[in-house]
Amino acid sequence: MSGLETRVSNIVLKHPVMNASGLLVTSVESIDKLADAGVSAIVTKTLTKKPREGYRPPIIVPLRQGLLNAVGLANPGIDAVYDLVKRGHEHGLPVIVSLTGKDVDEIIYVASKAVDAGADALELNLSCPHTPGYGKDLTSDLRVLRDIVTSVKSIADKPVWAKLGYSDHLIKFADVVIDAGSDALVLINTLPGMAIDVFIGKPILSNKFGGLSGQAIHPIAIYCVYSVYREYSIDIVGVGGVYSWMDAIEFIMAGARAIQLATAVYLDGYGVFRKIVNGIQVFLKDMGYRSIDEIVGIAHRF
Amino acid sequence: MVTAHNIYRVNGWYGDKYYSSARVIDKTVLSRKYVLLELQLLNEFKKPKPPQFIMLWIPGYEAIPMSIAGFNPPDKILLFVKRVGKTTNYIYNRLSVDSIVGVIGPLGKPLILRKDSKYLFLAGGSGLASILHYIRYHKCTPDKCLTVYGNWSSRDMGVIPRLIRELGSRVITVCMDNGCDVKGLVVNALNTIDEEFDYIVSCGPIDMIRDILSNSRRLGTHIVILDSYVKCGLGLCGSCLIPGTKYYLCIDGPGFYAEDVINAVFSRTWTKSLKGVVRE
Repeated sequence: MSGLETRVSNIVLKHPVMNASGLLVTSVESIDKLADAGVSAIVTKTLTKKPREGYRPPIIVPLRQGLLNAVGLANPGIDAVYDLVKRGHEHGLPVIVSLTGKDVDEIIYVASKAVDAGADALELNLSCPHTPGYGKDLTSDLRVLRDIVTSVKSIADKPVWAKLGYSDHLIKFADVVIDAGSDALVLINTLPGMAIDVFIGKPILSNKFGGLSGQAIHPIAIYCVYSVYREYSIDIVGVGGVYSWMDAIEFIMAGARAIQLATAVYLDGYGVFRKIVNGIQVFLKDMGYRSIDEIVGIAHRF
Repeated sequence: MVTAHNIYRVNGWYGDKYYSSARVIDKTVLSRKYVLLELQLLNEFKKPKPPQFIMLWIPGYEAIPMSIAGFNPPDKILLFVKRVGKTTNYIYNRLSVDSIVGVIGPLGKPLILRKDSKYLFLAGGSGLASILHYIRYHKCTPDKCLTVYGNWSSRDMGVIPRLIRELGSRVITVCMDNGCDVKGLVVNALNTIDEEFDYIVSCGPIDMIRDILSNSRRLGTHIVILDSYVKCGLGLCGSCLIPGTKYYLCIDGPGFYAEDVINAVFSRTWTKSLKGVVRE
């Protein structure tokens, strides 16, 4: 895998492709599955203080443009983190624990458990678009956003990654979380969306609206990574509509040091991870690049 | 030189899974518990294969997983529905022809049997849905297909045995009273059959599958079609993990070779994971 190695905050990854937190990781068996699929790190499903059952079905709608989901942060609760981290480490992989909470205190509680469990990094989900009281609802106040990151940094001796969604004020949000001490940014989350069955005349999701992922959001995500990279020298993980090695390279050229994906797995199965990693490797070789480092942010050159 | 298509080939939208509106074009009451629905899909949909399933959404009710019981090209699917919970009781009692419902699918992996083989189908209750799809798909004739179908009461059978025969399979009915061909459980009927088959396909309650796997001495390729709580159907939510395995029922199943899931079928956690629901 020479030449594919990359680094996000201080975590060394054997290649830049990992799963995004939307994908499955709520059980040790799902970690085995991702490890077999060849990810370079495990990102858990966003964990909260207590288990959440999430919304009732329909919670997901396959569309031409991507996937629309409103799972409602269903997860087994933070107490599951010990087993998840342990299993990830048994596979020799770094484990990034994605987490959120209803307020700063809850997030600190969840983060401290993740640190205690041995997480290699914490990914703060500050941008879930469809669960009231969490994510975007909570962090639209910049002071709260700053407070969350500062507080988590103060109790965590591990890198803190902040996951932000698209917004007109992304640069401002990025500025706040970077200033508060984030070690890396994960860009972007799903975008709010809705699908209506025109014959029935009602929104399909039980929650009515949800988060859109997949092809439709890829160019938006590339733009976000490009914009933030231009302003800040922080490490970025690109997420949004990665289906092929080309989408991944696009992110890296825009300024990401690694990428995450989830929606492509539904399209193409777990083999998509290896396919993308192989594609990146072939591309680097064919184009005469010796490492990922060489192409990070090259789209910004004159 | 590396190119997009030689490394990566797009199979279709979302692995050929779609959301489609569907019109109820026929509803046949089969017995006091079962109804057969024919839905016409109004949007693009991929041809389903057994034992794939759909998420069926009746507006105002929770979407539920439903095995596909048949496909009439180019755009009609059949559903074999047992009334159990809220949604299925609504379907049985009140859903009328011409209603519009939502369908997500086809979900799960096709598991096609070798052609020109002899098939033994073992079904219990609503588990007959996938079996009906197999019978149609493999164009059953009485010499190559035998279906053992069990229900608790003979009064639940209604015209279902005739339906199975009309589709081309022989049928043995099993129930706990004297109104069926065999009194007892599906496994009791199985042990009276003196015939060789290339495939045995079992679909029904987990206890029935356990009985069959532990008591049957038959050789041949054994396929089990499992049931679990499916919420998203695309492997996103993790709710249908088969205990002790890496399989998600909704993307790796619902049909499995018995040897791949035998430990899970007999694990105690299986029953626990079923808590709350199932294919209604």
